[in-house]
Amino acid sequence: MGNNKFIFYIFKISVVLVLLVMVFFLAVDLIIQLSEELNAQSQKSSSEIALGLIKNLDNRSLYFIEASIIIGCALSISSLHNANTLNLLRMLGKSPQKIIFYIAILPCVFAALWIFINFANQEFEAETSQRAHFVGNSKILVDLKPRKQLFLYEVTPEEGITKSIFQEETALKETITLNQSQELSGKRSNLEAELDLLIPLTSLILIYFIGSMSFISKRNITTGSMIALSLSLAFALSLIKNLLISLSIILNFSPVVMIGILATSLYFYTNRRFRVL
Amino acid sequence: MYSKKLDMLYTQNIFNNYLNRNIFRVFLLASMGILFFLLFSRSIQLFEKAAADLLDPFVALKILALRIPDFLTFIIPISFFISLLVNLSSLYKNNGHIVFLSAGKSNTYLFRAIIGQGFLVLICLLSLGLWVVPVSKPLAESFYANQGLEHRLALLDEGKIHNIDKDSQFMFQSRGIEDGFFNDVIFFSVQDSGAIVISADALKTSSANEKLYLDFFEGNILIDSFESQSSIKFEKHSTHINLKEELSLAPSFKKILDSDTKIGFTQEQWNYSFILLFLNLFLFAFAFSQSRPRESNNHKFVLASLLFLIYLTALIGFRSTYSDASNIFFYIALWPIHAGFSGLGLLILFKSSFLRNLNFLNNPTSKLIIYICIACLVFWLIF
Repeated sequence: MGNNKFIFYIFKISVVLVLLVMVFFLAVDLIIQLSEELNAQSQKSSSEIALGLIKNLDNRSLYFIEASIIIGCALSISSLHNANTLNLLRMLGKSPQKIIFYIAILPCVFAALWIFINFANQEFEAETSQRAHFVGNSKILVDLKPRKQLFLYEVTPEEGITKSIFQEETALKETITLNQSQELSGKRSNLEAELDLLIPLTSLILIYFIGSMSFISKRNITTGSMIALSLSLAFALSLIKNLLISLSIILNFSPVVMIGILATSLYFYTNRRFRVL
Repeated sequence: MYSKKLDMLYTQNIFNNYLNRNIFRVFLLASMGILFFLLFSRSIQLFEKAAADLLDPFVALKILALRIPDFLTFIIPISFFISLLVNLSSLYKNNGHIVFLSAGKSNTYLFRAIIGQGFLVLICLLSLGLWVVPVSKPLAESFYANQGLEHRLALLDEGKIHNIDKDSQFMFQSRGIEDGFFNDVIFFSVQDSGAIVISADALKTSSANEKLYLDFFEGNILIDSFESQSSIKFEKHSTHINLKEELSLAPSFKKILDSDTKIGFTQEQWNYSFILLFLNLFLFAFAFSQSRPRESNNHKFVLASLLFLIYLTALIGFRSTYSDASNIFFYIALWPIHAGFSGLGLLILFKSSFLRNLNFLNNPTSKLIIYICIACLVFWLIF
């Protein structure tokens, strides 16, 4: 009974801290984006811009989800460590691995669900993101989603440039050919989306690694150093992912496998650290 | 008498070897770490371009290899500074220097023990900065420039669709006689506010200041706001597109390693500057490593880092004031900045009470302000 109460407390503190970190990141991102958009002197009003950015927050959250989980869980570990709850849990017979698992599991499960929902939406968006295409040598087809209209601009030597409007998709759309840079950017976004699916797993392993430190060093690991460590790890991971995506496009290998190998190596390394406890 | 002298000489050799070996180890480790980080951050940006088909991957590798000497001129002074600071601080902290003082050695003994290695590192830095970098860096820049926009435009195929930016595409049927000229061009750009379609007999392209300038000759332009549209015939129509690259958020160290101004003169001054930076950091290391037994070195490390970052920022700031090479005397190796920081280093070295009286690091608010300053300076310098 006592164990369950403790575990519920751990769940609560980790989820709340991860959410708070996520809200902080999204708020900062929103302010930066809003200032950029207002500086860009768009034709939209400021309230429209703000509303548009708020609607896009679900997509933006994917950029920060990994950092939020890692920093939020590191903060949870640190606050539990400071309150001696970690020692108490160990006295109740919980192993360090299990304690870290309880801290990390719920944010990772929620993240997996969130990413899965966004992944399904992203696929739909990726298919329809290109809004203008050349058709043949002299026609340009523009797919204007907000108006649910298709425009066709045709260049003829006699009439110059003419425009016609379609209300529904026509057979013309099938003749669209993508150019090379579109293919490459499509490939890149697909790889990024695939790597996003690994976020819960990589986050879990990184929290496992960070958690091992708080058990090994009782005094030297402070809240500040935990935040610094988790921030640098999240930043390093995003850089590694970026490099792997670029290299995988050039050398034609799967970045998912490479990240998997790196994560597994880190897991075994951390396991060895835990064994000495 | 002879045996006593021999013993002292032997002990001295052991100590010299121990100190120099430790300094060299930390120096090597720090150099390798910083070099790896620099290469890693640069490779992210270069390979991102290569993956977008804007740069040949082998050229990216060549550029990386050619930039290593240039990176080393920046890495060597910092690594040696870190190494001296770490080793000398631990020596002071562990009462090592008191042993030497009681053995009759003067205060300058430590300096004399290290000067040999420092001199060797300085020679390496001199040869890199004055002979290798002036050759390797322009070569890397030329590799990069050859892969620039003009080069990419030269490789475009006729009758195919080409992206200019995320909103704009164009197609041409044949090339003009001169470079950058295209015939029978259709260009379009679609944004939220509307679309522009241009059909022209000829297109002249040129680029400057991260902008692609497009001059269309003899054609029609259709401006469509999706509510209304207007079509105009023109003899010449000019427009430009911003080509500012949106690369990943990887540290580029652009402010330190890539000057925006003229390469030749500025680069030459910058290379001399790193040599003077090395000498000043040598001085700082001695000044900041002096501590009392069991005194925490963390505060001094933080102050040394802050001073180093301010020094580097001042150098970059002063470099950006360069207008031309006419007043060479004033600009040689950015001497006013170096002279100012040498003076500060000497003051800290000979007035050690100056640092001890600075108690503001014990105050949490000033500590926080200093950490924020360091974070801001690092952020500004590396991105």
